[in-house]
This record gives sequence, C-alpha cells and structure tokens, in this order.
Amino acid sequence: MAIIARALVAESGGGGPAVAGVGSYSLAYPRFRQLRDQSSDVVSSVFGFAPLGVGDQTATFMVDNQTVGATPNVVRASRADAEQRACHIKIASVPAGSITPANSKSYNRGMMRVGEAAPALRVLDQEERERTLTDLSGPRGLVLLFYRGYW
Amino acid sequence: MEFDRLAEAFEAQGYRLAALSVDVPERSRAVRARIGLRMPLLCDVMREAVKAWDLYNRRERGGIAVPATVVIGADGAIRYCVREGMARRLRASELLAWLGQPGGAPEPPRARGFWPGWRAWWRALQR
Repeated sequence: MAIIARALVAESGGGGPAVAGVGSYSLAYPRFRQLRDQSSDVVSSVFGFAPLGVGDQTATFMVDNQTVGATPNVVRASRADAEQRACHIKIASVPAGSITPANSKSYNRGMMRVGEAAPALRVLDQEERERTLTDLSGPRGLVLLFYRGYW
Repeated sequence: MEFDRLAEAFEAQGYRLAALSVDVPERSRAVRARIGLRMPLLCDVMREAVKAWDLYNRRERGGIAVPATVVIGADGAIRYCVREGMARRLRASELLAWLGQPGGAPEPPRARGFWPGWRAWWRALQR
C-alpha cells in the first residue's frame, strides 16, 4: 500500500483534488477493483468539474480492497481524457465507511456522513402518534425517506 | 411509489421504511390514503428533524424537506445517505440490492429526463 501510494504521488506530482466517491465496480484484478463511472456523475463529484464530452465520461478508480474489506479505500483515480493527458491523481487515506458516493461533496454538501450517529427523531406520524427511531426501526435498521411534501 | 411497493422485500432484509415531510398529520393521512401507502408518514411540522439532518429547504413554501434517502442501522449509525433532486432519485431496487449484499454502495442517483404531461401542466397552471 505504501509503495503504491508513493508511486502514485510521484506520478501525479502530489497534486490533485481529494477523492471522495466511487462508482459501480467490477472485480478486475486480484488486489484492486476497477471502478468505472460511465455516467460521469462520480467524475464530476470527485474532481469538481463537469464532463466535457462523450469521450470524457469514463474514469477509472483503483481501490485497495485488502485493507478495509467491504468498504475499500480509494487509492487512485485517473481521468481518461484524450485531450488532457495529465491524469488527476490523488492518494486518499479515507476512513472506512466514508467513501460511499453519498458522501461526495456535490451530492451531500453539509449532510450527515456515513458512520455518524443519526440525530434523535421524535415526531408525530399521520395518526398523530409520537414516533422515534427506535420504534420505527426494524431488526437491522430503518430506511428513512425525506420528501418534499405538499402533495 | 417504488419503495412502498418493495416494503416487504425491505422487511425481509430486516429494514422498515418510513417517510418524513413537514406536512401536518391531516395532510399526510390524506396522502397516505389517496396513494395507498403502507409505510408511516412522519410529520415534522416544527421542522426540527429536517434541520437536525441538515435537510431543510427554507426557500420553498415556508420551509420544506430536501428529498433524501437515509439508511440507519440498528445501532443508530448512518449506513447510507444521499441527497436527491426532483429528477434525481435513488431507485429502491438498487438500495435493496445493496442492503442484501453490502460492498460497493449504490451509485449516486442520476438525473433523468422528465417531461410533464398535459395533465401535470394543467395542474400546475391551476395552482
């Protein structure tokens, strides 16, 4: 991991934006997973720029799946861009559980992060009964949907 | 509503569903009956929960909730959260697949093309 990190830093010149998101992935290597973001959603959220055209819409993310198991650390992100050969690469030592796409800054600016404790909830339901997270939750948890209302 | 349709599948995974807005209980009750929802509709009339979750849109209709989907584990920790938009919604089936086989989290919802029909235009004009 450390050797790979140094190599990538040298390749990128140490610059580049922080990596904060991953796309859907397929197992491509024994140690690394290759992530492809065909829609460029993750590209724009990770790098902070809008996609330029069809040719730009593929980015490859290399994630180390040995260190943290199910929640891999992103160790390299590169942008396949025919016009701009220089890849944007950044080593990210992101804590496990904090690199889901939901945490990418363009989607969840200021929102709660994965792994944090959910704020307490004490509200009425449609029958005017008081409900809390505890009584709403199932054996494994709760899927809470926030909606605009005023239907 | 896709989530409500898949409620039993979520329950089979050990997760219950609930939806939250700033609507008053009477309105939520009417909406639930009209659409035939089974999940509870939570009414954050005082806007305390949406503010605590930082999902408060103060610019519309005196303050409403920002659409979002959050998965809270049984231990009270957030397992997944995503802020959504009018044309960018997380698919229930994708979330369900991820809950059944955690690994890579679901992709951020993509914006989808939306063209309202004449009925929607008419309703909007009436309002």
